[in-house]
Amino acid sequence: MPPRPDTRSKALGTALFLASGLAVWSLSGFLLGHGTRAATPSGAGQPVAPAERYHSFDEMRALLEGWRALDPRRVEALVLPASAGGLVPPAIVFGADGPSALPLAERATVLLLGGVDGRSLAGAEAVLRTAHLLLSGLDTLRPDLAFIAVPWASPDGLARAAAGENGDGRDARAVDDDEDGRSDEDGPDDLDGDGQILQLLLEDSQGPYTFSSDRRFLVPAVDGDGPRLVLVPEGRDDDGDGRWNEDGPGGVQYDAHFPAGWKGPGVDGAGGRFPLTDTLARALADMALERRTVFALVFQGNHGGLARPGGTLAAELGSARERATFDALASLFARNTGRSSVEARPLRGAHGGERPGALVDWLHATLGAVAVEVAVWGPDAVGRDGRPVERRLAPVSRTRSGPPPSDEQRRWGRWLDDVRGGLDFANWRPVELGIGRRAWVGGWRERVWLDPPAELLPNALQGIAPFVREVIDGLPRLDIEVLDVRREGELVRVRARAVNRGVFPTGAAPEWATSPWMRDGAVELRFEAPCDEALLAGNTRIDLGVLGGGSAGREGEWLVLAPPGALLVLEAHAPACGTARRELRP
Amino acid sequence: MRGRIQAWPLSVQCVSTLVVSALVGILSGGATRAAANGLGPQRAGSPRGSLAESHGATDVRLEQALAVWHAEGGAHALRALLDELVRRAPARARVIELGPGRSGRTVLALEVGALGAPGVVVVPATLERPPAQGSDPQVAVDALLGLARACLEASDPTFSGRLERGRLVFVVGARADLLEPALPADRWEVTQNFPVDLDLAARAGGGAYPLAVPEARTLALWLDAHPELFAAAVIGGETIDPADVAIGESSSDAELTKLTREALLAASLAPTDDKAAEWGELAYGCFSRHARLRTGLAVIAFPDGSVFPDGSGPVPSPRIHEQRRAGLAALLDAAPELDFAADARPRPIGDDLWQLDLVLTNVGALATANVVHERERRPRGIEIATPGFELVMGSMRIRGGAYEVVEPRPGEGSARVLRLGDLVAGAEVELRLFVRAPAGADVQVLASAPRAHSGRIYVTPQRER
Repeated sequence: MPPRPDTRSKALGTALFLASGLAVWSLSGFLLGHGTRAATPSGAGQPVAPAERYHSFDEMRALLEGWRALDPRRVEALVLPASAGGLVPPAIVFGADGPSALPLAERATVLLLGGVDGRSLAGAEAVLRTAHLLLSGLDTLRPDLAFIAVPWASPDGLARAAAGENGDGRDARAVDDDEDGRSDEDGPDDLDGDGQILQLLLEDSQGPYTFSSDRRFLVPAVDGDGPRLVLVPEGRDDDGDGRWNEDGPGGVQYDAHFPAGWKGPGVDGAGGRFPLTDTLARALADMALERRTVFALVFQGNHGGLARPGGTLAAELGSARERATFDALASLFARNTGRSSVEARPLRGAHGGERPGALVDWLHATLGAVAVEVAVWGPDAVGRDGRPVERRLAPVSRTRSGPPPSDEQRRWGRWLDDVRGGLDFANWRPVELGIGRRAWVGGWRERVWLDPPAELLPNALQGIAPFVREVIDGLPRLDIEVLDVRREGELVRVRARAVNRGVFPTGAAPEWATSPWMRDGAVELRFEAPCDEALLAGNTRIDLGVLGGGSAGREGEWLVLAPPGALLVLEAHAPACGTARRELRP
Repeated sequence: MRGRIQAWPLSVQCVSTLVVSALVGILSGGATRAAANGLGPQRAGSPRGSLAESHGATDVRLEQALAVWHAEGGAHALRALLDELVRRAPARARVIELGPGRSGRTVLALEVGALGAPGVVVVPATLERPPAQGSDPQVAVDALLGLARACLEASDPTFSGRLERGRLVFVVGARADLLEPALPADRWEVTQNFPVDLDLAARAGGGAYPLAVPEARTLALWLDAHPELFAAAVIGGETIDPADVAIGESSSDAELTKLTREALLAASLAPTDDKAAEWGELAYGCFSRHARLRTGLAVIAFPDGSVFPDGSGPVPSPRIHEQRRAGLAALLDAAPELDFAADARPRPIGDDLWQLDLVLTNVGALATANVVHERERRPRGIEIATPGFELVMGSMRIRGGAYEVVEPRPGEGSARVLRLGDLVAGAEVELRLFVRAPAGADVQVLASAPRAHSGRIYVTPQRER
């Protein structure tokens, strides 16, 4: 019988046992914990979700900074210059990891820009929510893509919108709109002392408008219509020049400032003296140029749908060549948001007038990027039940009370009546200006026409972020299908083809290029043998042209002399969507 | 004492010998480079002329700066040369910085004449076509500098008189890449990067967006900030006839072309037929198209030499600077100019209220503003002021008919002014002003427009006894 260990030895053994157990426990816990953390976004946890309301500039900035700090390896701050008013728009660029992932700056890039028009706060909120959704699922995103989110792309205009001003979205640069040698000296005022600055109608024999049969809305006047009206912001003629509030604060409206169909400063100078002379607007253009921008979503507008490039006729004709792509986008949008419009209207159709200098037009014409305007808000966005409404309207004709309002105005009228009880519009009421002309004050209250009321914001945003996610998942993605590999001794026969697994085409067709910077969507299938002499038949490069969504190019076939285990490489490449690679060792 | 006196001259002698030797060395090296560039002094028959040819008495400092410029080139040497030119005529010349160029450089210009006066911007042909298409960059800048010097040193008093009420701005530093080849090449070509013909310029490689090239942006914004400029002269290249361009310019520009051609013809410089070079040969997005179509300047290009009636030429001219100076003189003379007729005829209306009937005429060869000004929202219109006296009301009429009331508007300070439309060349307008002033006061009536010479008249209203 072996001697029993003494007490000290036993205690030591127990202590060692416990210590080793503790060590193993700690080590395993550490290892497991690390692995767990690696499976979720690195950092402490999920990015903080934006609240279901409008965010101020500082709140938005804090959100973005928090997201960046949570995962600094995959989320980077993007430095943009200050606006004319001194506001630096916060921006982030982010992307998933992957074994062969390129640096963010070298990847195909998707732009998410909010409120470029300086008016759409809902657009800014849409960018916040979309960015949050993507960041929450960063590991599930393709590692060959980068995303840039700039919620407040036109900070001066959006700051005025956030302050409740019914402005035109211009930046804070002082401009002499009425060319009298002074700048911003005749802006809007609260003429009737009701605490709101609405709009002013002045009777004018040459006025372009008249009342429609729904007296809330104005329609273009024709001969015989009466009274004929001029529409200006509410206020006094501060500079005594006989014009009313024609030189209010602000200079350039960014979404009229890009060199696409740009025709000059325009009647009111909002297009800027020359395109892209504004530092921040130019920085946005440079940002798009320096990265491989393949897709851009600009969240703004109040038409409630998707608008494709087409602020001018030339831009509309250009985007019509890719009608299938834009209509596919519109279908996705309708399915996700529940809105009824299934086509992507051109910008000028969606807005009811020409839109020279629009950003989406420039991105599409210059870079060949698929660029769309996504309008969070519109009369069909939120109905009485909180759901999107049906767009169909019965036709109406002229009545004794005047010409009929447009279909869009009728939708707004129905929304006002059915959803808001008519409260968001101040009916036109006469006001005495002492100038011997009739005048009326009234119009939309509190920017309701431009952005959803706070309580309706969540409904209006419904489906927007999931729509973007579905679009991203459907971006063109090249893959290689190996159809057949057969070996006969040293002779190997390979048949393969390139496939676009995405929903959207691989890019713009080269023959449509309107600038040397347009991304080439033509796909090339490449075959690499162990050495040049080994290839006995077949082309090393096959031009497949643009591949549509879900489509495959023609097959390639090669005969090659290769010992067993020799490396054969197949690649499918398009400048607009990168490279897919397959290695074979038959 | 005697030893010190003898040592001092010896040291001076040594130093002066060293200095002169150094100067000789520099000058001979510079002359060698200048000769290699075809810019040697007094080379008869040089087609482009040389900067050195136009000088009069020898100026050592200027020659030294010239030599350094020819030997080394670069922005610093150019600045030094410009400073020397200004030094020779400080009362009428100054170096101005138009704005930033590439790589932290500054776009420089030499301004000659009256500060802020209506004037002409003078640019080299290298803003019209890139070097690859045949315009020699060094020669282009030298041509500009030579012409600037000829204008500064003109002994002709009539030309000097023009510079007392007008000005010329020689933009010598607009192509940094040519002044300093060591700078990295710009992505886009400045000759196609001005904001005109946007889509066409983009297709032609003019840049993903206009004014992306810093020099183009600086020049465009500077022109925009100086509405007193009314014409642009492009030195070198084909003559351009603005009237060939169907852009709706006023007929006064055709008159300008005629005047300039006559001046150039008198100097045996202009082509002798009416057909000018094809406008379409100029690149989309080039400077002169921008100057013409966005800024509303009248643009004239001065050719490289003389053309003969048989169509031969251009032949190098030994008097090229003098000839081009004559062309610039013609351009300066064409400026819009407001002029009041001598007879003012004041009439008493009240105790101290007077009616002044005046006739205002644009006696220049150009309109005070044209359709481009209106389309591009550039400063325009004529302003009538009566400094020191209240302008109570105004009215105007053109070519008879009834006077139309024009209400004075707030002007600078608390003064009220009349704002009228524009006058084409030779047009007149009759004004009826109502001014409050004591009898016997010298009332000045001032007419001004952004790019016109102002007109003024003094009226002394008196009561008839």
